[in-house]
This record gives sequence, structure tokens and C-alpha cells, in this order.
Amino acid sequence: MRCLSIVCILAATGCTSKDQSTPSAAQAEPQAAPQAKPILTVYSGRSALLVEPLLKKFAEKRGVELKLRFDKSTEKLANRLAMEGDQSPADVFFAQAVGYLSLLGEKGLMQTLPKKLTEKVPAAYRSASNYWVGTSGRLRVMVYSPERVKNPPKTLAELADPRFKGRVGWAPGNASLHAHVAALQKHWGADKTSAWLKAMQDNQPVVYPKNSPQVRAVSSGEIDIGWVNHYYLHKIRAQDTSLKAANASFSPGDAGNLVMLAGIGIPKAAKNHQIAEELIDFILSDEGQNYFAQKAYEYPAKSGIKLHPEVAPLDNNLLQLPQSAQTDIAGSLALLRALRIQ
Amino acid sequence: MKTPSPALPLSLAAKLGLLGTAALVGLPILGLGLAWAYPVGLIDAPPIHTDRLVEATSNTVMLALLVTVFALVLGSLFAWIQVRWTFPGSALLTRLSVLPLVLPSFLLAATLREGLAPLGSLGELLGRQERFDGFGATVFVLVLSCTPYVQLVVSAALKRLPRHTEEAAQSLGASPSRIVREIVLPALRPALGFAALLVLVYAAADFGAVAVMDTQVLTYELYQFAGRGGVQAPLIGGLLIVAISPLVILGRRLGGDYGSSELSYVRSGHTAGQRPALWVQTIGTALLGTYLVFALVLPLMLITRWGVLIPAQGPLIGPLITTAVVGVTAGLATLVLGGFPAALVAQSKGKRGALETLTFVASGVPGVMIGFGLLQLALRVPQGSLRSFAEGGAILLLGLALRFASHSYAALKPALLTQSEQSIEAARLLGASRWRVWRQVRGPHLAPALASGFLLSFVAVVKELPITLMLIPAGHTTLATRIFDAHEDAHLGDLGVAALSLLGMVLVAQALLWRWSRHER
Repeated sequence: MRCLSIVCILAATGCTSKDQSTPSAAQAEPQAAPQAKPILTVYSGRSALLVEPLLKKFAEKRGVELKLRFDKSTEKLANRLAMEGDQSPADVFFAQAVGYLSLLGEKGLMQTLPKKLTEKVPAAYRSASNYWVGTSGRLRVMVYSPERVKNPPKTLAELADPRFKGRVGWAPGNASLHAHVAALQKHWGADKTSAWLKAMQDNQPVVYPKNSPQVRAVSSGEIDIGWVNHYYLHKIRAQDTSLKAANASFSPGDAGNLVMLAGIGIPKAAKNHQIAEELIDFILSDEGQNYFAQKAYEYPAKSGIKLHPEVAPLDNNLLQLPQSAQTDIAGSLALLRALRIQ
Repeated sequence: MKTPSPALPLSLAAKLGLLGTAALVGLPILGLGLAWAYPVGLIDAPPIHTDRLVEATSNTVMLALLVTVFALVLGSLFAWIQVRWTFPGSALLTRLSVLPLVLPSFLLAATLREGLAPLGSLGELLGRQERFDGFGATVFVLVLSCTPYVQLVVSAALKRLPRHTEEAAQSLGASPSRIVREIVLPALRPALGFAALLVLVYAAADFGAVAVMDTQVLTYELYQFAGRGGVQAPLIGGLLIVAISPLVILGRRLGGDYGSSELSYVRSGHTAGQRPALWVQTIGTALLGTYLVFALVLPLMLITRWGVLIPAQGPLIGPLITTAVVGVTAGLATLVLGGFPAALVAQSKGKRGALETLTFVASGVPGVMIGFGLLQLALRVPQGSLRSFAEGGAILLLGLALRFASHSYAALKPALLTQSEQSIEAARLLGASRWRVWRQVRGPHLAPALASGFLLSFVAVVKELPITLMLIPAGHTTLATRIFDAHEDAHLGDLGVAALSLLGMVLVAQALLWRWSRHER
């Protein structure tokens, strides 16, 4: 089927757009084309290896054909959606950091989600304007080499200490870092955040396109410390037990101890609104949430889901900030660009 | 002296076809212009970073020049060993030294970055303390990638060089260095010029190795700014065209007509030569051996280890089928797009150099620029027209065909030029229909060149990264994009399996290419 599909699209028959532009017709005439499945287009800033199995499980259950567009940069994907505007084929936008969903919502590019979906998660894990709902959380941590770093930094501020010059990695193009900088601007204020970022930059950090290669880089000796989310270590170690790296959190209440929320929403131009809602419902179901907990090593957004045994429960060491503190992505990017970091 | 015959006038169909081809070539540039004129972004467009532009431009120029110089020296030396010298192992080593051609630069970069990291397989053995990334590492990787191109071009030229001039000079008492300086090098000038062109354009247009090594050159800057809105990306795209087009034209001037057929067929194979002094043998063997360790042995060892020992997460069948389908369809599209100018040039008995230059310039434009330009164009047109082509994959095929049109052009032009008009005329006089003339005269003559052109394009397409990364329809992944993504995700198991599959596919195509090449010769 997949093969046939690509032969079809490569022949440029335009069958994709026809299918997408007339979903209601396709649904209304099931007898005429009983084998034709409705198409659901998902834009995902979360990586294919992470979420594709879950999305495919939904497609199989619901009987839809998925068109998945992945991009490691949620920023690029959000810009694409903004460019496409009301002609976008996207039915669902799955973001690595919810700030981008808020931004899209503020620009009038997202629909509001019904309460029956948003109320499946605690109030802290959903948008006040109902543009998005959180799907899972990731803890911001350091990944480091216990052999080479005997005294890891105790605070995020200390990560910029000159003793770590050239030994730290980060991913300034990554949505998690953008969201964390947005939170720092709220918590520390613009001046302190700017000074800290400048100190980090002066320390010549090694730039990576994403968080996961930092985990590998610690193991291969490229860097001694990476600034990442907690679950990459678990995921990579599950494949490669020889990985030489460990996670560490900062001191209780420190600005580094932040829970980063991934979220999902429905673009205004979505053609398959109903199926998009069904997908979100599936992701927030016990099955979907268990997937994030057990397969992705993440913190489920919904209460009452058991964590993976390797993942430590969230405790009172977290920085107490509302999720909305992470949503000023425009301010975060402006600062990063002003400092020539991004 | 033979008087050049005038070019034949073009038919109306040919003129229309030419116009259509020129319009296709102009599409990415139109997209670039639209992105410049109508920048769109979710947040305020980032300002133009002049200092970054200057740094990226200077890095691009330096990278291209350094890679060209080193690859020319190394590739010419390997070609000399292959053609002029014989010592134990030289035949095997010089045959192996063209094999790194099958490795895309991003795969070579990814394996070397891992392998030469302080705790990597070879890095630990060598006691390395530094990371293997940045500008120097990129130069190293691209020299490894480009050396086989130089070796192929220069060895083919060396094989054709008549030895009697050198022997006469030797008998008149000329020193070996004087013979090389005054006889061999001038005779090799067109081959060296063409090889320099190939390497210059390859290095300046490379995306994969610079992305893996995080080197700020124009192509990687364009990719990074491509999704942010604003005018920085189209500005970089324009700079790339301005920087690379003169390189292509200059290279064609340097190489004259030499290069148009030189890469038609993969030429390799060792010819018996003189036995050099022992110290020369030792240095030659050491250089070839070291080259092979970094360009072939270490990468193959690592991807095999990752592919076998680390379990892959994602299924492979989808990317495998997509790669095959894209390779075959884009290979055929490339034959059409490259075959058309080749037929026109052949019709004019080799004239219309401007058309040939246009074909090479279009193919010299970096893939990341073609991908960006076409994507911007597709995103700015109304739903239902070009947008469906973008979502459907036709625009991907167009991008790939533009990028690799020169491959099929180079393969088809010599065959079209050497087609015997007398045989065709004789067949017609004997009453053969047009179809029968095609089937029994033209077809068999053109078949090896068509097969070579297709396979050369197929190999290039399946290894291609930036156009595929930017234009592939939603829901599809090729082996090349899977390798790139798996490296960025640090999923080495997926990287290994995808890389082994890609290499298998390329080797099969390459084996067919060699078979056709022998058949042609």
C-alpha cells in the first residue's frame, strides 16, 4: 500500500490533494470507494522514532491513512504551517514544546480544543486558551560523564562556569531549549538570562542539532556535560547498553529543574477535524499515556499512569513555575538571536 | 585545417523544448526571488547577519580551495600509481581506492566523527583528546570523498597519453622531473582542470558533511535559516549561485571539452607500469593504505558493527522501497532532462557550447539551493496547482533531475555524437521504417549510454540528501534521510542498517554500471 501510494504521488497525479481536499465526500460515499481510507496529516516536531509507532497504532485502529511530516525543528514546522495558512494540509500539530502551539494560536492558526479533551489532563498541563493540550512531560537535566566530571554543576548558573569551558554541549535550535530560555526570562528576568547565555556562549559550548546526540557525545568523549531532557539517555541505553553517561538534576528548586511539556493541537485549516480529535483522545487515553511512560520514558500528562521503573518520580525539587512561563517563544528566540546564539 | 561546419538550425519543437527546459531550470531561482520579495515567518523575521554571511562565504571559499588542492594531489598520485607504477599490492590498492565513491559524504562524516571521537573506536587507539568536527575535519572528510573523482579522471587521461614523447625526451637526456613538468603536466592540464572543477563544485555545494561536522558554510547556513522566514536564506541562496556559477564556467574553460564525456563511464583498473624504487613503493603503499583506512575500512567497520550489534528501532522496508522508487523515477527524469540538451548539441555537431554550459551550471547549483527554491515556490502558489505537485512528489523529481541532469548529459552526448548517420541513411534507403531504424540501429548504439546515464543518475539520486530532505512528500523517508535523521537522533542501530542497505543498493547499480562500461568499450 505504501509502495503504491508513493508511485501514485510520484506520478504527480495530485491524488493526495484531491483526497485531502474532499474528506467529507470520501466519508459520504463509502459505497463508491469502500477501500479508500480518510487521510490524516500530522505535522510533528517530535521525532519519528519516538512517536511514529503510537501514531501508526491509532491509524490501524481507526482505519485512516497517515501522512506524517516530521521536522527536528518545531520552529521550522511552525513557520511552515504559518506560511501555508488556510491552505495547510496539516490536521494535527504535535509540538516538542507547547510554546509554539501558543504562538500559533495567538496568530489565529489553531482551533480551540473541546473541553472533553483538555479536561483529561490537570489544568497545569493544558492551554488557558484551549489551543493545545499537554501530552507528556520531560525533565530538563544534565547528562554527564561520571568518570570525567567528579563535581557536576549544582545549579544551571554554574553550567556557565569557566571550569567547563569547551566541555559542555547544547542545542540552541531545539524547541526545548527555546522553552527553557523563555522560562528563565520569567524566573530570572531578561538581564540575568541574557548575562547567563552570554557566559555560556563565552564558554564555547559545542553546538548540536538536537538533544539526543549530546547523550552519545558524552559517551564518546566529545563533551563532558550536555544540557538535555531526561528521557534520551534511557532511550539510547535501551538500544546500546555500552553507553557511558548518566543523568543528573540540579539542586532543589533550581532554575534548571524544569518540566518541559510536549503538546498537541488542531490547526485552523484542518480538514479532518473529527479524526484529529480522535487522535488526541487516543494519545490521552491510558494506552497512549502508557506508551509515553513505558516506551518513551516520559512523564504522562494524565494522572494515575505508572512511570517506567528507570524513571524517577517528579518530586518537590522542581522549579515552581506555571507552564505558561514557557510559552513566550518569540521573546526567547529574540534574545537568542540578539546574542547570535541561534 | 578542417573548417568547422555550421550548426544546424533548430526545429520549432526543439526551440519550444529548449524554452521549456530553460523555464524548469529557472524555477528554483524564481522561488528564491519570491522568498526574498515576500518573506513570511511566524515571528518577526531575523535580521540579516552580515558577519555570519561573511564568515560563511569565506569558509565556503577556503573549504572548496583546500579540498581541491589536497584531492588533486592525492588523486593524481593514486592515478599515477595506478597507471605508471607496478609494485606488490598496487593493483588491488588502486582498485579499492575508487570504492569510497559509493559512500555519501554525510555517511563518511558521521562514521568518522564517531570513530575518531576521543572514546571512539579509532580515537581511543590514537589517544585523541579533541573532537573530530569543525572546519578541519570537514576538509579531511571531503578530501577523502573527492579523491576518487580525481583519480578516475586523471588515470583515464594518463592511459590515453602517448608514451613515445616521454621516451624521446628521456633518450635526449631530459630528467624525470623535467619530463613531468614540460610534457606530462601540460598534456594533463584539461584533465586536471576538469577534476578541479568537479572537486571545487562538490566541496562548495556539499551539505551532508558540513551539517554533520557543524561547519558554518553557505549551504549549511541556508539550511538552518530556511525554515525561519526572513530574507537571510534567499540572500544566501543568491550568494551560492553567484559564487558557484563562475566556478563551473571557469572549470569548463580550464577543462575545455575534456570533461563532457569523461565521467560517462566509471574508469578504473590497473595497467602494468614500471617498478619504482623501494622507498617510493613504501610511501605509495602507506599513503594508499592510510587513505583506505579512513575512507573505507573504518566507515564500513563501524556501520557494520552498528547495524549488526545495535537493534534498530524503525522499520526499514518503507525507506528501502521509497529509495528505489525515487531512484528509478528520478533517474528516468534525469535522462529526459539531460538527454534533451545532449540531443540538441549532437544535432549541431557538438556546437552550442552555451547550452552545455547551462546544463552544467544548472547541475552545479547546490542541492540545498534547489530544494529551498522549489519549496518556497511550491508553498507560495495556490492550492491545487504546483502545491499538489509538491505534496505529490513531482517537485522532488524535478529538483533531483535538475541537480543531476549533467550526469545523463555527459553519458549521452558522446554516444549521440558518434552515431553513424551513414548506417541510418543506409537503413532508410533499404526501406526500413522509422521504428525499425530506432530498434535496430539507433537503439542498440544508444543503449549502453542510456543505461550508463540512468545508473549514474540513480546512484547519485539515492545518495542525495538536501533536496530529498526538503522536498520529500509527507509520510515518506529515503535511506539517505533515515541515515541523516538517525545520526541526529543518535540511533546508531538505525543508521547502520540503513547505511548497509544503501551501500548494497549503490553497489548493485555500480556493478551494472561497470558491466555496461566494459560493454561500451
